[in-house]
Amino acid sequence: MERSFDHLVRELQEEKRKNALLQNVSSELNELTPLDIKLNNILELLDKSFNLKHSMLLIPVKDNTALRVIASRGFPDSGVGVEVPFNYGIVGVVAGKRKKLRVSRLSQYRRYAMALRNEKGNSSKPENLPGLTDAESQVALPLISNNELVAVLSCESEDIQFFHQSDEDFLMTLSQQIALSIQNSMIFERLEERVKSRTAELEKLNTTKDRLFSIIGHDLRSPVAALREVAELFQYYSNKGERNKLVEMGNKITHAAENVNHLLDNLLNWSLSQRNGIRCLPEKVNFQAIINEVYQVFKDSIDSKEIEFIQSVSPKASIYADYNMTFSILRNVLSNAVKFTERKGKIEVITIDDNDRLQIIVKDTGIGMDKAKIKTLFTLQEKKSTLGTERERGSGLGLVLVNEFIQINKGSITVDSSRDGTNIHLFLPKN
Amino acid sequence: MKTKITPDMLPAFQGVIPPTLATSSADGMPNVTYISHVHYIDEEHLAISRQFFNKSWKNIIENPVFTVAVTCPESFCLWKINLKFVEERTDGQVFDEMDMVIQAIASMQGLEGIFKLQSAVICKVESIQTLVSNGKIV
Repeated sequence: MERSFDHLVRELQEEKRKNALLQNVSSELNELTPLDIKLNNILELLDKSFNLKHSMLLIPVKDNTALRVIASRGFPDSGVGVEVPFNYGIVGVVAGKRKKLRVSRLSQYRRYAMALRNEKGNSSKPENLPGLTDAESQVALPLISNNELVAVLSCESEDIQFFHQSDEDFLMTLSQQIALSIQNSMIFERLEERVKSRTAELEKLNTTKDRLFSIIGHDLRSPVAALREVAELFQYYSNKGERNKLVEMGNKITHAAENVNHLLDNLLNWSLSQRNGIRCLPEKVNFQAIINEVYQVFKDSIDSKEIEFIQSVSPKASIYADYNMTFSILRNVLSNAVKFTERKGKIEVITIDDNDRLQIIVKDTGIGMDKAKIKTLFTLQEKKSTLGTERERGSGLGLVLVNEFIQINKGSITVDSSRDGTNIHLFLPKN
Repeated sequence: MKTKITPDMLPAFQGVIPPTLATSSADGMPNVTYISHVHYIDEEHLAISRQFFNKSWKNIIENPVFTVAVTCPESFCLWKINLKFVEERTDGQVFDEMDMVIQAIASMQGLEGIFKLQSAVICKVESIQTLVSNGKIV
């Protein structure tokens, strides 16, 4: 009678301990924390509540053909990142069969298998899983949630009898909760990542939008203002009847209007490309013909700066690209060359056959750029634009657009520059 | 003498202390051997893994009544369990559970297919005799 009473008291105490544990564990597991923290918390909990000092968690990878260690506790080597195939070793077999496994007297099994191996002359390379070198017992549990293997929990001990059967059963009941908790953290982490990448995307779009407004507000204003001033002067001289001055100003007006036109074209093209609203219709384009057309746009500026313009272009050279985009690319590149080349300098356009692509080099004897400047060429940022040798203004939009159009036409662009000048290399497909 | 396995005996089936298996041929020649462990199915059934086990297996076929002695690694109680052979299984839950251990060990040693479970030998518990309890021979 006395004995059974003692027994009942002991059982009651045991139940109380488990209840308290369950409460602790539940509140810990229900917290939504980042995955790495969650995993370490789980292992710490197992250590403190179940005295499981050497444990690790592995997740299935490679379409459920291998397990990868994602957290471990109490091993000389953390082993995070190590992989083992399914059905290899205790954890692999547990993952493959989705059933718990407990093995005691590991050293005896090792000796037994070793003896057999010597006899049969077989060998297999052991994987570098974290583990105790003289482990005697190991328990591995599959953590399953919503019928999906979320992870495998493995615990080792040098003690031949650790982990009581009742603890094991208790842990099995907990395993579903652990699995669900890990799964939640994984989903949480994925969501966090998506939020991050979406935020970055939105920030980029926002910068682009800001820059667009800045270009419209500032860069577009000055050439238009200049045009207005010229028009006022025109009126002034016209009232005074100074015909010579009027003729002289004609060229200036044309030039100012061309500048505005060029900028507007760039702006429109670029905003279209940003909204994926631009259509790319590639066709066979004779390079000499198109470069001549672009040259006509800059002829006056080239002449007025007394720049020597050389074409080393094969008459047969052609590319397969959208005509309007190619025109815009060449106009922008050439515009830069003219802008940054000193009076009496030289600009050369060269074509080179490069397998299935045509390499176009626009070479100038301009002021050049340093490496830091080259890095910013294809991005939109405040105050990027540099004044030309005769204080020509820019918007910083030109090369951004060039890069976009080159990409759309399956080409590429590289830049090399020194104090003696700049070489822009454009690569565009021939077919 | 009890006829069912009680919860205090469960640690004896973890294979911590190797059990001894005693069988006898039809003409009464005994054979005693250590086995790795006895698998607990329920309070009236146990399973023994058949890997090599040649002479014992021959005896069990001839004479299906035998005994196994198991020791609890916590209390060092020792029990003699009288068993009767029921059937040999090569699949199902019990076989799978026993096979997992063998597969795990074998795969780590590169012995897949050599070191393997032939079958699970299912036995019915006929009676249990306590030989050592609380450190005293009963």
